[in-house]
Amino acid sequence: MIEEAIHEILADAGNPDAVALSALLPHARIVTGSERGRDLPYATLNLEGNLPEYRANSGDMRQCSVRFQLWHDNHEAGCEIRDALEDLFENKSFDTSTAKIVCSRHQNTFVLEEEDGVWQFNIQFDIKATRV
Amino acid sequence: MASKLEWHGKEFEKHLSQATATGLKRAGTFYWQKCREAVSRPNTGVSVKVTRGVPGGNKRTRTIYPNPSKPGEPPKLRTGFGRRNIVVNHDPKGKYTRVGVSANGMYMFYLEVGTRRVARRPWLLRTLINNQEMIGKLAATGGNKK
Repeated sequence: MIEEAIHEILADAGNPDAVALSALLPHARIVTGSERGRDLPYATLNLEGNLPEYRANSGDMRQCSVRFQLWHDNHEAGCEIRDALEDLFENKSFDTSTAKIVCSRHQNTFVLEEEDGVWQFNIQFDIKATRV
Repeated sequence: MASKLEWHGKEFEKHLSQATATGLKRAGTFYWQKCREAVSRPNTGVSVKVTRGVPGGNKRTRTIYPNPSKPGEPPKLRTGFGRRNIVVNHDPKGKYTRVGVSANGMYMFYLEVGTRRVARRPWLLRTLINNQEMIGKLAATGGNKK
């Protein structure tokens, strides 16, 4: 549910932050799950925690942690994409066809250089969402 | 009617500080144990006959590990080196507690986040999220029922 909603947000042409992100990293280069052997740059999207849903007055609420991993061979360009991603999801709420994201908060970011010189950016968000 | 107010601020501060330190310590230790549990599923080695030897290598048998962890699962246990290097560190003043890997077990961090060539095997953050309710309770109460 949440992965679908996030992809919908990323592909939303009416959202200026999503358009800015797409200009730096096309939506087709962000995939769910693990992906290896792709051409750089690309990003993956994974749910870290899958906490049980609980009842709220706006429907069943689900709380989870979403981690984007971005691989880029250029550190500065990677930082730009990271900033665009944070701009898109930091303290925002979204209405999508699959879920209503009530709250999205930036939780953590770190960068590491892999042995072949490629930079890995880890960007983590805490998301609360209800089913539509 | 006379009333008297006694202020035990210092004692209360001391009690609160000790209670918090105890709670944090218990929560940190609990999380550390859960992390060790997460990486304790065995991938027992199997001894097989060597069909093609290498110079200086064992000529009769070698050990293979036929059941490795799948991507997305916590890493499985082979030698226990990674598990031994999961450490917990309590602040002597009781201000914080840390769980992580020591420098020798840095590869466990790469298993946690994954790399371009190695799919991730999350064991640290996922364990925290899966146990956050209990960790929160321990940190708040120190395991006491009161």
